[in-house]
Amino acid sequence: MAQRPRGRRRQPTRKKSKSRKTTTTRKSSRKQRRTRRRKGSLWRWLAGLLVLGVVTLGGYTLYLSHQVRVAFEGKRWAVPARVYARPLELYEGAALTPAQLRHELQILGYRKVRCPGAGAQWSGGGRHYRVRTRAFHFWDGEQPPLTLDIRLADGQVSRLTDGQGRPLDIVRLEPAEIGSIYPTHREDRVLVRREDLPDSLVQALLAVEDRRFFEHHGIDPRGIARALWNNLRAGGVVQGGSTLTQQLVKNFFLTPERSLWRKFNEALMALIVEARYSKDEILEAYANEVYLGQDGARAIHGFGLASYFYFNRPLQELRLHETALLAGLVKGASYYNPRRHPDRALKRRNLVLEQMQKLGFITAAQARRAKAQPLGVTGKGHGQQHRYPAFIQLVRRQLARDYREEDLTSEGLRIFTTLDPWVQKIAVDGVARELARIEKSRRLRAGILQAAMVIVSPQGGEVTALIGGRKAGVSGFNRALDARRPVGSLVKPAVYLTALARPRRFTLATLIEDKPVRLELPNGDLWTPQNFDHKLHGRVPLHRALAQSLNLATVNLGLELRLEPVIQTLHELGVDKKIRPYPSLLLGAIPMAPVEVAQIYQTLAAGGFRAPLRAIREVLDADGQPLQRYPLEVRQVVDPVPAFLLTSNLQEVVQAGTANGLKSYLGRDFAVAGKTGTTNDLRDSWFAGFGGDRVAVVWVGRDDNKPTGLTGSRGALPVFGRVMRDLHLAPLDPLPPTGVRYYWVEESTGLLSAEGCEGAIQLPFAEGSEPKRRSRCAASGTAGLLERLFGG
Amino acid sequence: MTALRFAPLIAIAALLAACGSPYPIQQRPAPVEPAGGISRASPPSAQTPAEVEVRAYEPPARVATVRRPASPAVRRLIRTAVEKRRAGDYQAAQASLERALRIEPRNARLWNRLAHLYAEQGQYARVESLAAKSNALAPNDPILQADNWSLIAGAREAMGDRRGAAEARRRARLVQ
Repeated sequence: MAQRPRGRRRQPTRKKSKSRKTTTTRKSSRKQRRTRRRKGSLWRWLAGLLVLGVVTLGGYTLYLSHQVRVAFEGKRWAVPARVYARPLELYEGAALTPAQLRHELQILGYRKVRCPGAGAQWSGGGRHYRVRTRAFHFWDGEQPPLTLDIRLADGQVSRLTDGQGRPLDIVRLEPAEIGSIYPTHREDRVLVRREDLPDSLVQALLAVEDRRFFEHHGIDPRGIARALWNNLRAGGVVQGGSTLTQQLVKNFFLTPERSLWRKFNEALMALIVEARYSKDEILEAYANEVYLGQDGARAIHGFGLASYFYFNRPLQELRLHETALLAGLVKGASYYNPRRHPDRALKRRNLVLEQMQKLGFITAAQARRAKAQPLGVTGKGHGQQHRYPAFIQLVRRQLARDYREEDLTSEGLRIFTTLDPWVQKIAVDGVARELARIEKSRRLRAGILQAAMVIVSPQGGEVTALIGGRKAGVSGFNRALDARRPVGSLVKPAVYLTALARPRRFTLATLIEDKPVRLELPNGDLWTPQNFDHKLHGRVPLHRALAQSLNLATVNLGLELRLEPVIQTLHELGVDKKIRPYPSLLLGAIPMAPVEVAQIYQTLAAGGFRAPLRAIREVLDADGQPLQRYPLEVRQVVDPVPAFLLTSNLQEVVQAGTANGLKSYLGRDFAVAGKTGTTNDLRDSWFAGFGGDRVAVVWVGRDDNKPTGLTGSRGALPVFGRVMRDLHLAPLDPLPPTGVRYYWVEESTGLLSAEGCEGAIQLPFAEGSEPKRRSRCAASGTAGLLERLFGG
Repeated sequence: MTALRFAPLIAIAALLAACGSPYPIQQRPAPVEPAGGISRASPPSAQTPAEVEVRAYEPPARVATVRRPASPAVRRLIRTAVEKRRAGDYQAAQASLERALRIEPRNARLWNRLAHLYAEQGQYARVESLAAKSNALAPNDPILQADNWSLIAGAREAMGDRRGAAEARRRARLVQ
């Protein structure tokens, strides 16, 4: 920026000297005597001008030289933070299907070969795989390339050995890169060093852009002459005479304006750059600066990133025909865009290969083989699909608490997250298919439904997948984080948990009143909630009221408990924001985002231990040094006993309640807990649930908040069911904590009963809270006798 | 003063964490999970109700060996954690235990070890929750429970909660 004002100041000086010269000539023809007398002073004057010119030019050169130094040495490329998925852990017994392993190898850009020798290759299929990994710098150190022999059986790793057949306890594949956090000017790059540049790439660049690069001093008169000649012959610009150095200077320091003055500056700066820096340094800078493509708003800079962008592989793993394509793109990344204009790109690539052969870099046979290869660019939905905008947004928000924006976008941080790409893929597919199916079967306009889903690990609170909308690969409104909708009956477990934490008053068998509610609100309105079926159910056991999601029983229960303790429970379960004490909160008139609901259900799934949801595990700086760890944290917020009682009640919701439909996805006796949620006029359809290894929350609704006609069990539940089935959810197996005992009770009366008695069911109780009075059957029959003899 | 009083506990904790005494490393177990089926097996740390009965008749020292041992992968990660801790790299030790916990999230001993690591570093606020979590996952393991309660007692004491510490100590004695 600072150069131009200086330039303007100089130009007039030059013009002045020229005009002075011409006037002087004219005068001299007319008055020779006077001229002769003044000749000496003119020469002196000219000499003065020359000195002035040299001094000015020298000064300007010095100034430019300073500019170059500042830019070259002071400039550290803005290297966006790179974000990685979780690494896949391999060990005997790890849950892993062939499809999942192949998916992982595919997103890692591993090549299938006959016999894996070099890194990032694999062979095999079916149940037996052999994989050669890449070296990777993990948070806790470097893992060298390994050869792995993996056998799968029954959805698990059945045997894991190294190349020589020695058993391995546990190995990680390197994590897939899932995105980067680039700055607002949208330049993305993966920094490469000179030694990372494959020879074939350098040769290809030389062949088509600057064949005398290693000989010239920044500008190449022969190159210019050749370009000029070729352009004249062709009658247009077909070839540029710019050296790589000039191109670098152009990208690096100058604005895109085209003028002679700029050309002059460019040439001068190129000379300065060449004088100051080695060819290798220049090449390295060039390789990181050059523009090679566009991905929406994201500009692809440098060969490092371009290699991932087009081939989903690091630069060092590219083969001749691939490096030739990248070198060919320098001339015009959008014109030769291999995805949009494959024919042009192929021609350009083959031209590069021909030039390489002509200059003797490759043999005719090599050129022929490379030219026979397809472009090899990953499909549109491929390398790009591995960007997970919704999840990255969550990562960004968590990082924003600890890092400045400019550090994230420029310091080359490496961020290791909790995302499981396989879980994400299954969830994305499940949401898309299930919504389409629902729309079809309910005769809704295709595409009208929207959805969000959050999947977390129950004990650690790690977010393994996050879906912000139906089109998961497109960034946009992130419903999982930002769509705050009333949660409806998803709030009810908090009411029942509050009750179950008072074992002297409430047990799962306590009869509560499902009777009409008429409440005058502070603003004078009358609140008269209804049951979903608009019926009254009278006295119902507490567990059944939750299983059937009875509104009136819940409101009566909540009013007896009072609102404050219920709100307190919600806060303990993980709701951060203030909750206003309106009675309608008992029926879920609290707007929450799916991710907030996921926190609540994580706490329930972990038996009352809240683990703040995390998307990040570790952060490394650009040199691979650990910067920060986000450790596993838990806090016990609910006593284990009521938490266990509630969990068993939530299992009943699935076994014999509103979430009964899950059975058609997970099987009749599959142990899973969950709760449906539906809001007024069927606007929001919710489901939250958990099995042994996952907690998930699903929201289905419309962006315009109009009714969908779907209850929780019709909209969100099928999505949950399908995704959990496809992920092979582990069954729930809660551990009864100390202080829980099972008793037979009579369902209708809540009295102690016995096995075999009519209407008897077995329920868990906090020790001492079981009913003391016996039902008639229990008191009389043999069951009652046994009961009396052995004391239950 | 409090630090001094805490010292023996730390020593015991260090011993426990270092030599893994409540967690004897055994030979590799025969596979216990039934193979196959549509539904996945429950996490290996799940306990069978049978353990309750066993406990009543066995001397306490044997109880720990009755339970299903951790997988080779988890044992390897525990070894790494022990090595890192010995080298003074607590962060790496924690990371290794967390990695193990992702594999066996309901392994009460892993939570206990993690609690010990934090206790050694004086991060008492975390100790109590981790030890409580370990307890919740080991309702039938009195030795582990006692150790967890001692951890909690030490943490409470270090944080100035004497009454809470005394209560925890009482619980530690009670479970044995």
